[in-house]
Amino acid sequence: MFRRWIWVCAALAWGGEPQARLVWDAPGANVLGAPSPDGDWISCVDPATGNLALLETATAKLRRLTLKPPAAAKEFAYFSVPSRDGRQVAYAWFNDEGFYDLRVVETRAGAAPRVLFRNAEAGFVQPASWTPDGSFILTLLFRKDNISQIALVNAADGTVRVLKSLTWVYPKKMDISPDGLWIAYDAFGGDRPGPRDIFLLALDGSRAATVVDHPAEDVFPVWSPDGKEILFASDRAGTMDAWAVRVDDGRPGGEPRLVKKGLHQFLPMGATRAGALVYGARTGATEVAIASREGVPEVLATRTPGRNQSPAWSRDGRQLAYLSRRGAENFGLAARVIVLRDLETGVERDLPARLAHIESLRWSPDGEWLLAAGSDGKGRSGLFRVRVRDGLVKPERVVETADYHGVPGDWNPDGSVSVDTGASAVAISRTGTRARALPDRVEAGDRNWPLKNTTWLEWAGERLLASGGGKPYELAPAGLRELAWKDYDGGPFSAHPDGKRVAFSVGRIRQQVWVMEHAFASLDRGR
Amino acid sequence: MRLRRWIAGVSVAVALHAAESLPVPLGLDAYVPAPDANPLTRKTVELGRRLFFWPGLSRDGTLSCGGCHQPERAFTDGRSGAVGVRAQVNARRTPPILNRAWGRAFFWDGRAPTLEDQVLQPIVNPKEMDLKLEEVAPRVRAERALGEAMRAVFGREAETADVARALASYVRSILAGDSPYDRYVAGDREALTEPQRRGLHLFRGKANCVACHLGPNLTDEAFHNTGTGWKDGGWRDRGRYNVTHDEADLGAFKTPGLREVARVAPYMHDGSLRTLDEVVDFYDQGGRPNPNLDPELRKLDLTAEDKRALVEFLGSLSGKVHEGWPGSR
Ligand code: HEC
Ligand code: HEC
Repeated sequence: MFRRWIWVCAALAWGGEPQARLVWDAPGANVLGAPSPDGDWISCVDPATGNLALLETATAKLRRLTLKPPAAAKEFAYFSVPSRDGRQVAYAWFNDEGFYDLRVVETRAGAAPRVLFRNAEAGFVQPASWTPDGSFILTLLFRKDNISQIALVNAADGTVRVLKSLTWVYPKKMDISPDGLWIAYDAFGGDRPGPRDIFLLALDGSRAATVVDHPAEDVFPVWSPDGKEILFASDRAGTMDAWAVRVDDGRPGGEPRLVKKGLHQFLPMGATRAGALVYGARTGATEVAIASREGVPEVLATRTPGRNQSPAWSRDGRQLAYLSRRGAENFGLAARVIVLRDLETGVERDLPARLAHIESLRWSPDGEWLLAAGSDGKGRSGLFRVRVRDGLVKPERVVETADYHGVPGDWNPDGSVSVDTGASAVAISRTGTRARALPDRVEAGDRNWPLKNTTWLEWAGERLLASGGGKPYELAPAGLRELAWKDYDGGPFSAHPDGKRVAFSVGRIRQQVWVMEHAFASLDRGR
Repeated sequence: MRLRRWIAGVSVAVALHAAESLPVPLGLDAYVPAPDANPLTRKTVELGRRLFFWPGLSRDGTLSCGGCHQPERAFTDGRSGAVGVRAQVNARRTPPILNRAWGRAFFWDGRAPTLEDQVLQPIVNPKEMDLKLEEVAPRVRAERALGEAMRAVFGREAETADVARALASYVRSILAGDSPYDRYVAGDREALTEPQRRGLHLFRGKANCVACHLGPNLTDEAFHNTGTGWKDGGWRDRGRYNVTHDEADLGAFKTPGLREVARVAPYMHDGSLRTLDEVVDFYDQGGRPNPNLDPELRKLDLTAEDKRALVEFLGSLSGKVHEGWPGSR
């Protein structure tokens, strides 16, 4: 994968096209921020601490902007965007009450953050762009009734003006034009989730327009620094490539043009004043593998290699269900399908389940259902039953307070389902022994183990296995024991009914940040 | 107050922009959709308002749009079947026409795709206002002041299409918001009483109302079969099916918005439920069993206290109803 990138860079250099430079490739590199206007730094989350930080593009050094106290261990920064003078950064902060508020901090050393907007009713916020004069922050709000809203938050007093409400499928990116008149955003055109198009909305709410209307997926609009063009990602030519469309007073000025091919899983994060494009890229792969409890995993040869995870064994051991990512989807949720694999013949089939996000799967004792944690097409989160025969989805438990990952749960021996919203993971053994993970320990029966950050539990016969802090453990009567699962990705795994083999996913998906100099200037040259 | 300050702030930020936009009450989107061919302007809204309350659009000159859609009743008439000219009783109830700018299809069965299309239909419906389409423009022209006003706005002698544009613009200006619910959602924890908060929790959780009633207007603008069209083993009203002829739409009606809902009884397309208590009982039983019941409906096992809380919550959706362009009168 990485080799492909080098190849792309080399090709760029030879072709005289804009050159891309990899600026951040460390473990935990994230694409949640945006560049400063001069391009000297990019706002981001410090992977080590969860603080808001600035990444210096020349050196890849991080400077923390927030310093959370030890008592705030669970809090962290998320999406962020610098103001147009580079003096402030607006960012989402996962707070002590378990939702996100909108904060602003100055970029000078020692500045104290201020909470601008904090409302549990709109508990997910994504600051996207500042108005040129710095008085408003364009922010995406996600409400408790599962709708998203394009809103302007007053940077002085935090009051909110909602411009437009959308369904639960929120825009992947929004950007304010340099003249401060228009918001560009992506959303799906019709009533139902489907390919996205690019739309404009006047900042004063007076007008709306469509600038890109095409059957392909068109996402992540970013204005050029001169405000004449919108660059976006599109798979209209078969792969995810960068395209640009001219815009004239809210109207498209002709057909979009290809800017750069072969960027694959890329996410435009923002433009600098000088015309560089900063973007995120995703590389790497995860695959499903089977191993004896301590052995070397054997990777399954699947029909669609690349993004496979969360295997679940049927109770007769004959089938494996797992999740597979498909389509042009590059960032964000969507496009996870359930694959059913017959382990004797190796034959696979896709199970078309109408769920928006699936986090994990567990097979029912009678083999007829899969229990899926995740969220459905109405933005409701929790646990869902998916019928193995035809993919029919039935909500098992909708939990208002859950995020899109859903909630922990498992089958009881009698075929009913136990949900545990107070734990981070649960597992119920064939004989009905329940194990649950709390922040500082795992409990099962009258025993407990001091394992932290447990995200998955699984019984292999009467032995309890766990994923804690991304590593596999056996929770034996004698105590915790780390397991040697090579390349384990830290996600949900499953034990064969014989208790001797396990299926888990291996590999890593990594995010990187790249800078493409003269991305917009090159458009001018090409004209 | 807050809202006013807001609008002032935004207009400073975007002073370059010339278009005047209709102010909206708290809880609604600032962007009020209107088709490119009929932008929402002060002039078209004012003209539409005159037409809306003008009985001259009915056969015998007795009934205006406002005769059925009465502003003081949140634009309904309190009857279970609308009453047209010559005291004819219709099978369907007059719906509250609030926040219809965000509508995607109109009438209980969604047979009109746009408001411009919808507003002419009551005029020509023999059981409502009973004019012929070709009579509309001449009538308006003949009413001198109105005819002149039409000419002033559209720059030509009154045409039926202009009447439709003006009426649709006025309907788009009918906005309901600024309720205790809106203040609560905007972050004022005290805006709802304790039972109302409980009711909201049920509305979003156990009672599953948000499966269809969501967003600023508390509707998905889609069609669902709750069983209201089924009576004594047969279809009384096939609803959406009449438009699409798709079996999946049998007995489906458009989810109505729930703003001002406590003031718009009786309920449902046929006014068959008299009170909100009856509505909540209806949902508690999982709607009315029929061959095409929406899968989102099921028995809810609500306690008497749950039901009271839900009705209390529905009461918090009453706030202010604005109509027309502010500052015009
Ligand atoms: C006789 C009473 C009556 C009169 C007069 C009347 N309406 Fe209605 N209105 C109704 C009824 C009944 C319906 C629902 C009919 C149906 O769904 O089949 C309705 C539906 C509507 C709707 C659709 C609302 C929605 O969300 O689907 C609008 C808008 C509307 N009327 C506007 C008007 C206008 C404008 C006029 C005047 C030109 C008018 N009405 C005259 C009774 C009336
Ligand atoms: C499956 C979608 C669906 C669900 C779930 C649902 N509704 Fe409705 N609701 C509708 C539809 C459709 C109508 C109109 C039916 C008709 O007119 O015959 C309606 C009508 C109403 C009305 C009457 C409004 C009026 O002006 O006539 C009220 C009040 C109401 N619903 C409240 C609720 C409450 C409270 C809940 C939760 C207990 C709920 N609804 C759940 C779809 C739904």
